[in-house]
Amino acid sequence: MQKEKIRRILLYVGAIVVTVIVLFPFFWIFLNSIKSPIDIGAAYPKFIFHAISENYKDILLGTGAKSSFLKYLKNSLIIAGLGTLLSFVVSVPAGYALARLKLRSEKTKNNIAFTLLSFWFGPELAILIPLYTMYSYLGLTNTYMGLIIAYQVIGIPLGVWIARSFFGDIPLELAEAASIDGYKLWHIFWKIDLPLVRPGLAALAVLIFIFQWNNFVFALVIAGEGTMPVTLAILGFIGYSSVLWGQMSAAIIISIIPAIILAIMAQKYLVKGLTFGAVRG
Amino acid sequence: MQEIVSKNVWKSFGIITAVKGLSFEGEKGQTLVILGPSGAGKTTTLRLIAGLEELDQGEIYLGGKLANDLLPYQRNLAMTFESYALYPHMTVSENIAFPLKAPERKANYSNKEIKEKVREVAQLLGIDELLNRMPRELSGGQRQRVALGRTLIKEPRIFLFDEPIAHLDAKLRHRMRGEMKRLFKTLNSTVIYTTHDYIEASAIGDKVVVINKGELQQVGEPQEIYNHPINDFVFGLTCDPSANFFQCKLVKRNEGYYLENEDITLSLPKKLANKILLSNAEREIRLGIRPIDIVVSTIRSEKAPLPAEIYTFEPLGSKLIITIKFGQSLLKAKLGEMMKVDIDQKIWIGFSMARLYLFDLKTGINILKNGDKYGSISI
Amino acid sequence: MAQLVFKNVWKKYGEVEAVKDLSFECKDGEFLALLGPSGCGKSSTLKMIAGLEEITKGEIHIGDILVNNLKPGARNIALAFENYALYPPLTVLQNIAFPLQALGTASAEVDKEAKDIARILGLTDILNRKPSRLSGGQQQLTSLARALVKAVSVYLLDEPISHLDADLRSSMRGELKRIHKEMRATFLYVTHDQLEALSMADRIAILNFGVLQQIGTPNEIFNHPANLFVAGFIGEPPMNLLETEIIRKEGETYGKVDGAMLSIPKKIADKISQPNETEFYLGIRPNDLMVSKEKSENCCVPSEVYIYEHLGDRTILTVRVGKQTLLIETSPEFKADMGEVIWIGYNPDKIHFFNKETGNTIV
Repeated sequence: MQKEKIRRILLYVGAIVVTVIVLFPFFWIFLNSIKSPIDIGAAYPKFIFHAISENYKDILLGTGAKSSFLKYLKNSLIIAGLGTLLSFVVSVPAGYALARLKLRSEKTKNNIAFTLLSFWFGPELAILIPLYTMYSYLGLTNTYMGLIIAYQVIGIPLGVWIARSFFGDIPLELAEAASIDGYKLWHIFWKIDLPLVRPGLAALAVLIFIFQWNNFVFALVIAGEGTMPVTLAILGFIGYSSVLWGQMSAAIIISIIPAIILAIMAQKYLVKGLTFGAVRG
Repeated sequence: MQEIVSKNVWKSFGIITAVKGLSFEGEKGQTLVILGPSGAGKTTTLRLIAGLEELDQGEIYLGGKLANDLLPYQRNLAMTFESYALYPHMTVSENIAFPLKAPERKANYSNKEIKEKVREVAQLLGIDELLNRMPRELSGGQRQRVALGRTLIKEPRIFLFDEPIAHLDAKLRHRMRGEMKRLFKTLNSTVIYTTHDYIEASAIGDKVVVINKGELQQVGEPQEIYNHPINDFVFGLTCDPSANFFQCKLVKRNEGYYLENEDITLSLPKKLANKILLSNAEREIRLGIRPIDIVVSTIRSEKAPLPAEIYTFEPLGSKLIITIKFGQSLLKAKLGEMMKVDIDQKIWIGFSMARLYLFDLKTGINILKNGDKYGSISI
Repeated sequence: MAQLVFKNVWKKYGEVEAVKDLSFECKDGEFLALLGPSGCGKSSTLKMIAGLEEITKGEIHIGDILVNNLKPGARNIALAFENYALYPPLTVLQNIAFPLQALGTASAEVDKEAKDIARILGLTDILNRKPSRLSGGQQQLTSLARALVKAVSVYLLDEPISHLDADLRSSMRGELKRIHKEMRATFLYVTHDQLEALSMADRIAILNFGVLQQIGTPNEIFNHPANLFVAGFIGEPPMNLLETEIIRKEGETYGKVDGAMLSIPKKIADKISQPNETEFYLGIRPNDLMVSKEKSENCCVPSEVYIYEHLGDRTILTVRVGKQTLLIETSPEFKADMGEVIWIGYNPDKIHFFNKETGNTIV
């Protein structure tokens, strides 16, 4: 009995330690976002201080030359939102096709899917220069369209791979039964297979959105003042001689809110969708 | 006109040939059972008829029309899968209604009509109280009936059933067997049904098509297959719990002909011996006898002259199955009444000589396949 | 000495009573089957014996030792799980040998014993395979071998052959019976399949909803079921159970079943002692009924053929008498069509009567 108790206490302690380590950076940033510059720059980290809301006010309302941070939030929403939608619309049917296509060899299908996935693995920096060159030529720099298209490198490979595995988990017999019942391919996709992977697709959408929302490198190269997403905008708080820690922290907190909301909303789907696939017996 | 005709159908998957030159016919209103062990090609055959697989060679005719190039939804069939294939995200009533809502058919039925039909079918199968449940909430037997309902509602030309009751427990299986038979007869449907269980085939089928390793073995009524199996494989299928085989050689001694091995000697009438000699140069014969045709007695008698030992036994209420150690072999006997027996007990056995089957050892063919009578064999 | 004793054992999962006041004994060297439909409490009972579940109330003795508080490892038992529970990184032979090695037996001895039991269960050819490369049936037999290799007081077998295909299952029934006799061991065998229980057990304990219905030899349970449940559960095809009204007329007793009058012999009628009760359930097994195409002295009850099933070496008829349905087992030669009227008769010595309220057997 003693051994059991000690084991349990140790487990709890371990869990608390890990949680603290993981969450501390966010906690610290949040504290910074409500601290005055003096408190931020204090020699020893201050946990007890007088909280201010100036940082948030400044960035949201805009101070002088700087426009409201909300503009960048809007940009991120448009780019990541439309980007996710596009990725979805392209990759889900593609994943279905790869899962269901009757090719002579399994290996070919696997190769196609994996090749696509490898685009997602590849370092973004590797294609930056050619991408910029092409975009300048095509006039796509500093446009929403340009960013959305570039972001597909993030969204489509992942989408195809995961959608394919979800559809692959659905027993083929359901589609066969429907085809005997008189349904053609499109209807089978729409009425049978798609509804069955819905929870998984919700998780997929959230995943793609978060990856696209977080992207920094493509935004750095392609976006201009008019299309700058939050990831890039935060750089703006690094001045020539000083860093506006307080405002930057507030901006960071605001930037991660949409993703957190989505993740909480899709929470139960995230675990189920990512680990088990979308179908039960 | 035959409702379903399969003509010399071949189907391979890579290097494995699943169906080899299969030909058979089924009449309208008849229940045709495709019987064979697992892997024999029954499911493949059914899928070829349904159009879920394309055949490599041969022809399939449905209702007189060539069906080779028709897609599944054009063939006017209904099929239940061994795994039931219920749509997990739809309720029972939505599952059953689904075939009627197919785009091509939808125009024919109003929503009210569909609802009415679903209710009818559900009542017929005793599942009308489950209409709002989801498949995952149902027991195996209930799921099976929903799958059945989804098939019945279409009123197709032909019903295809792929081992529909294989995964139910014994009691439920036996009950559903009887109910399905009654259903088929009442609806006068044309049914193609697959199973690996001869008893099921015999109970439900008007005609049985026996296949093994993709090849047709025999076609006929259940009684026919039972009494005149064409080879030792078909014979083995019809035995419950399993077939008993002996290997013997035909010898001639002192004007008499005998079938012998180390444990038994059977004397044959001359005509029979000649028939064997004609077709079988090597004279090696495989004898087959069904468990129910073995006589068991605690005392030696004319009907039970051979000494043997009880290896083990299984009392089954009204029947008794005895595993007998006879010479080098283990035999199974099935008795219709109980007997007091013990393991390692010495007993006497005999055979119902009229129910003895002779098969060519190499080819397995039933030597007396035409049921010819050649006089009696004795021990 | 009884090898296993249950004294007023209860098992509750929260509010749910899975096992209620269970008391029985399993004698030394006996093959006792614990039989019942799913949810009847047999698995809970087995788990309590094994020590995998707590005993809510009551006592369990193994050998002469009270085991309520003993850990599973200390109870001198072996368990063959229904879902195999094989050790994935070990081969079949290593899996089987594991319990003996854990005891510290010499390896030559371990090897011999393991190979012996493997041979008996037909596993010799696959001794070097790992569980992932075995079929479901082979996995189940390996699990069984692992349970049988150790010498213990009681072997607990939880549906050990349920996942084998029909042919193998039927031959394993005979083999298990023989193994039991050779090992002279005490087997407690849990199953929902009454054929398994009937064919192998020395005695059967039938459970339903956590309550012991009857315990006795297969013969006793088959021919003298204690109540409606047992009567309907044992036997395939199942016993026919009909609602009957007893009518006594002119010194003779009759059972009225939906209009048909069945005469009941005096010796049975006398045993129906309650004069006020007239409504009973009548039970008769399908093979104790006779059929004929024409009315005769023995077969005088008309009925309509509902289903006709020819099964090779016998025929099963489902017939309708009034509103009630009967199953009849008869010879394969008898042929009848759906809707045909045939005449049935019965063996009056094989009639059972059950109390309508309690379901208990009267005769």
